[in-house]
Amino acid sequence: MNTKNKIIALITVVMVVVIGVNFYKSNNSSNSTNISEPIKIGFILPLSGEIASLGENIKDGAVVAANEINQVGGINGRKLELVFEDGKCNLKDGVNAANKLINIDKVPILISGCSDETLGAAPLAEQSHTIILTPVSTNPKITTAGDYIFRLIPSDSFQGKFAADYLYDTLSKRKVAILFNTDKEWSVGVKTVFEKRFLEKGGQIVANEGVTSESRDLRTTLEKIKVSQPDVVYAPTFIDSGIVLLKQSTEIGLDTQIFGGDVWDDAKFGKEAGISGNGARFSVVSNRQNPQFFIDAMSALPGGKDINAYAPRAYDAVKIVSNIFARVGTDTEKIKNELYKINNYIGIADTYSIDNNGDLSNAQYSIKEFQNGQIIDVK
Amino acid sequence: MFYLTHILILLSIYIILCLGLNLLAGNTGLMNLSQAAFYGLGSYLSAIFLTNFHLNFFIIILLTIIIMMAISWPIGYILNRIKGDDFALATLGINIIMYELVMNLTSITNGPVGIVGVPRPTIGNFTLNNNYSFLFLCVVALVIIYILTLIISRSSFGRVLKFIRDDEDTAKSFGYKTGQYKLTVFIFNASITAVAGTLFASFARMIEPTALYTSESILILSAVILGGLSNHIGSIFGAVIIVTLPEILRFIGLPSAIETQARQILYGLMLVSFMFYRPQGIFGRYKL
Amino acid sequence: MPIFQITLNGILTGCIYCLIAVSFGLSYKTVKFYNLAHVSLILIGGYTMLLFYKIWSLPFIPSLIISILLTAVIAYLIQKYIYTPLRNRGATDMAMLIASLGINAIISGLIAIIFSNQFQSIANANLPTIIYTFFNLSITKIQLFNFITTTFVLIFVFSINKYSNLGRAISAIGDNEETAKIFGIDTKKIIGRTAFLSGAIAGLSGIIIGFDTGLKPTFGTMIVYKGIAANIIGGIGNLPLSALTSIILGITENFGTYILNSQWRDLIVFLLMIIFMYCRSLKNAR
Repeated sequence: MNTKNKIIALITVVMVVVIGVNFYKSNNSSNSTNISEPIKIGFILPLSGEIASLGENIKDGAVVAANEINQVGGINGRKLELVFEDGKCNLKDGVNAANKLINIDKVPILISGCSDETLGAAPLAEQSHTIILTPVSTNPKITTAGDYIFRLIPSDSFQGKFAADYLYDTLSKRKVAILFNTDKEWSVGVKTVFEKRFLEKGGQIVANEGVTSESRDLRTTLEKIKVSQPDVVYAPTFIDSGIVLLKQSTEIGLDTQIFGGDVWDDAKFGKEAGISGNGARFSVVSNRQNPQFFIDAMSALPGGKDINAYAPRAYDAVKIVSNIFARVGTDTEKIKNELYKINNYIGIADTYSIDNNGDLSNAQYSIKEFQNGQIIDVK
Repeated sequence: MFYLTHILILLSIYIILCLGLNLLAGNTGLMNLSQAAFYGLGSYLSAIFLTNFHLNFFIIILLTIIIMMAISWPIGYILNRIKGDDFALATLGINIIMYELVMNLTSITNGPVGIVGVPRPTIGNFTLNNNYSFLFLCVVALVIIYILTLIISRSSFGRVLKFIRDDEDTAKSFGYKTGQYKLTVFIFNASITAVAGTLFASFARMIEPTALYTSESILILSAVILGGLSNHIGSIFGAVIIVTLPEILRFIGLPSAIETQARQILYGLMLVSFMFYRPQGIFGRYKL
Repeated sequence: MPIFQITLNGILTGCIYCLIAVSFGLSYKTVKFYNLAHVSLILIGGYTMLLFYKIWSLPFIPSLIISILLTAVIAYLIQKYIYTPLRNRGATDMAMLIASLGINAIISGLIAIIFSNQFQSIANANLPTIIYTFFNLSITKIQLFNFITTTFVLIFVFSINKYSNLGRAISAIGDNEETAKIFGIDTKKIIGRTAFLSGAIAGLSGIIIGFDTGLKPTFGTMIVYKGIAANIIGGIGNLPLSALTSIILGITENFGTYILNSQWRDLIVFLLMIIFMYCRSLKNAR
């Protein structure tokens, strides 16, 4: 055997061993029915990329809940184990993560982040009868994504409507210019609802501009918006686009009110936008005031400073799920039925009631504003 | 077992892509940097057919192949005149154009969201919901394509391709219509990507624009180069590297935040060191 | 339609492409392959500036100079320890291109690990952006800096190209490296110096982008592709023409955005590139 063949043989052996061991590990962990084994909850969150800080915050919210449960002995003596996978806020990685969690970790329930991740995971979850419970994804399509898909956050059909009502009634704006991200499911979804509602109310859409979330030079697009002389700019964009939008609209002297969506509720956004964000507002689902114990527990974790709107909902999600585990065990059919029964469950963020589609049956929003890089509440 | 079949299905799809690209890059010397775009386009076409028409799976494959041939014909015709590393750059341009088209023709492709819920193939009354049966389908396709590419590269047609790769002008002066040969192999590769695309769309049950990223094309070409140009075993081995490397990194237990970057750095190191010490790749006969 | 403002925006977008096209063109003239590692040079320039100026808060001028020099030195080292030895081993243009892709993957991967792959801007968000307005046209301070430095770099490069010994040597190598060697030109030295110069320009463009629109480890690719496209449309190695093409590309893009929508602009650029490549091949065939 010459050197070349030896190297090839070596590489082949290494690969076979690696795949084999991975395979063994996965098989081993799945076949266990041991009572003392931990109960797993799978998470698909944006842990890298543009909104990683948002994902880390949500992760910590869930960790706080799990720690609490495990400190008092877990669920019927079984510990709760959280398995986190990075869905990178896109469909493809959402599918991969779901595939791994469902088939290797054999989790009975997935808690997912971005709308794209949830929509990617949904067909797999439906097929394997795994539950998805999302405290984050707001896209209207999730309502009809399947029988096993639930959420603890109102659909954007509420948010788009709310934004249209707020701009038309409260702020008395009549001419709106829209700027949205063409490559983000959330953005397109909320924009479509808003558009419909605003026109219904008798408003006028003077500009409707789509840009990709990667675009960094919006000056000419903003120039076009400026020329259309809107009363308000509605921009349900992602974070990077939103920062660029605020900065460059200051530069070109577009001093109209700018109004965004709930993704903007991120400390990083305020910091990067700085003073150019002053006065810009956005709608975000309204939570109760975070309880002090939650704030304390969060601040001990790496990504837990500046709690966003989703972290307490992720906390509630873990709590709700473990309640159900304690009552009916890990059989997904039973869990599904229990979830449909949720009515006026009081969590730390909200009071939840789930309707026939697995959506929340009511929604309340609040308005927030940027001031010198800080996010403040608007009464 | 699910994990293994999942990897093996992906692997066989990538091997099909690498075998096709090897005909182009290895045998003919046309360094195509748009393999992912053709593959993605094939996936999109079949996803549209599969979700909208309830036809026999094989008819859908055939339909996809025919349309992909029709699309690749004019592209190949234009690219025919462009040579060497200009060809690589032009195909990169083609890749970007196709990506933009898929992103922006939202009425057909559903834009950035992609097409979700593509059904699994049905053969007769039997739906391949199970991954084992799907793996079987993939392996059958792989074997057929392997044999086809082997026959082509060993035929007199394949010898002319190698002649073109080594010296196109001389081949021309020998009276071969080199343009037609190059066009034929370009179209043939496109139809192979159509098969791979159909398999992927129905396996993943969805397709979205990130499948058409230029980085994906670069990855596939580098697999063929690392494995060894103009060698079928090399192409297979290259595909094995790009499919299993991420799994190996996951096995080592890198944090997910740097997993992608670590993979990227490893590919980069491999590419540079191969260009230094083994420009013909592991099994290659033809030096880049 | 605010024609003048859009033209100005277009020129400013074009300035960035222009810097990259010139830097790339210089490199192509001497090494004669598509050096895609330019993407990572831009990243190095931008991120070192981020490190010195924003994170370590050094003064502006020193950090600018150090960042540019650092990028130039790295470009030089890549040339000396990777490209030149590769060529000596008889690597083809295609092998060089693949190696440059590899280098690019390594550097941008490292940068993403060190600086995270999130969007960052070098400019301080808590200071108001300084805007100059004249004749109803507004331009920010950094855009003005962009415009002035690009003009300066163009004049500098063109005069080197035309009047200095280095420029003559570069042209000689561009025509034929072997002949240049016979005529006593130290080709290795000249190629090294060109790599240094082109690296410095690439680093500068990265810094401007970092101030103007912000940095992300993945952002450079498309801009470099467009710089290369401008180079090809303008005739590769022909610096003045490719600089002009870059500006025209910038202007067309911005008008395209205004009239149609921003989504078709990349498509138009690369379609043009392929058409030009095709036409050039027709001309060569004759």
